[in-house]
Amino acid sequence: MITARHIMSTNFHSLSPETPVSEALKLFQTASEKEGRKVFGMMVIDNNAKLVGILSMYDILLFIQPKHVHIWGEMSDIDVSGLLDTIFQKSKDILVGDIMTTEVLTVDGDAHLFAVLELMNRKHIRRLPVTKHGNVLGIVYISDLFFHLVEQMS
Amino acid sequence: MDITLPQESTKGSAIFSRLKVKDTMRRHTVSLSTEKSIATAIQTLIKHKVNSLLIQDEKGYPVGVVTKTEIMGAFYAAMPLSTQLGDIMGSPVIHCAPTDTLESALVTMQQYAIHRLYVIDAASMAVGTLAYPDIVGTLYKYCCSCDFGLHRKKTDIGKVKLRYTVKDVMKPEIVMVPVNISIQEVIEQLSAFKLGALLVQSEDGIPLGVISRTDIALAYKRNVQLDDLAAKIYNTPIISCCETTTLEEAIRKMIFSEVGRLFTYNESPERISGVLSLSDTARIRSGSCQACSSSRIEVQKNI
Repeated sequence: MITARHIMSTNFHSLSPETPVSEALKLFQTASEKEGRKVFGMMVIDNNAKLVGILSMYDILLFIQPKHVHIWGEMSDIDVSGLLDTIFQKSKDILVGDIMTTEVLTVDGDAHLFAVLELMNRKHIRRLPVTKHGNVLGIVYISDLFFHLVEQMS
Repeated sequence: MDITLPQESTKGSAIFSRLKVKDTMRRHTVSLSTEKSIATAIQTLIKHKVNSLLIQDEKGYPVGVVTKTEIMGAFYAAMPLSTQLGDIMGSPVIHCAPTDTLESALVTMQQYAIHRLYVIDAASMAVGTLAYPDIVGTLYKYCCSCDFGLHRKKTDIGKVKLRYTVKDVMKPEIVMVPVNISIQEVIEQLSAFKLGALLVQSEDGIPLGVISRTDIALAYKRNVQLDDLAAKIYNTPIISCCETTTLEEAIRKMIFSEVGRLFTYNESPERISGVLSLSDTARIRSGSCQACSSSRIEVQKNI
């Protein structure tokens, strides 16, 4: 029986909830380099090695979106160069734990491949942590699941 | 914001009074359901950079509002972060309709002393929000299309009108607290004076930084204790401007710095003289000329 354990990746990088968002941005780059794939979300693991959330690309993009953009979007005369620098400065004071997604679905290592597939399809999730008693064993990426199935079927 | 201003607006007539809520509102609301926790609410406020969340029941109907004020109150009452939003939300939802006039919406905001209205349609669903910053945006656009606007450099020298400066709109009162008072006392000051933020000063009276309601919410989320000192959570630098700055420049600075207020000074930035909030600028107008009085929103002070 093929289970979550067989298709999960154990070569993953994680963040601490106390890491400033500015640091997390850099860690997305290094994780992508080391894992050889574009990392769009990282698990957040606390000091007790427990999974406490996921910081996704969307969490970061929402935070990067300038405040009041709906106002100055109307103001063609405003020069907004340098705005990204301001936001980067601000991201030093905001921690991963402040903006991460805390409602994270997980599966057990023994979950059947099709149970994993059903969950990811139903919830529209692209990465699914595999845990045992709250400790992370690995992560299932939907692309890995897809290519595993493609290989099995051809 | 989706707004079409009629052609006559360039003539400086009373067009502003004809604007409807739907011309000015933001077609976006950030909502959570009643059973979500305070911790989730704080994360959502920070991530979306908003001050208020609409709380919905299981059918998606709006049933309450959680602002930074409710969050601050829950922190003060030492409620656990797992408390459900249904237990702390304010209700009913103060709202207006998309077809209401902007002026009537402003009167409602004034009556209830609130900074935003949710826009609720005939089917009782939330379709947007109307807050002071949205009105600043509309007014700014309105002023840009005016022949007397600062943006139109072609104006004849003889026609130059008096510009509003920060000094005309700012409030001269500021609240400063010493760096060694507790966060509990900071919350008491913010509540008592209905402030968005206050200044923290050193023992010899030098302004060190700012504590806003956002900083209080973050402290709560990070498990900072009520008896911890203000020194632990204040923010630097103090974002300020000179009293002689034009209102337009000040608005630009607030937008750029992503803040809702600027502290003001006379001669030296070390001597803070007052505070200018984005809401105050909406109450006067966003542009800084007095070419047309009809576009000015006259709302009573001290909301």
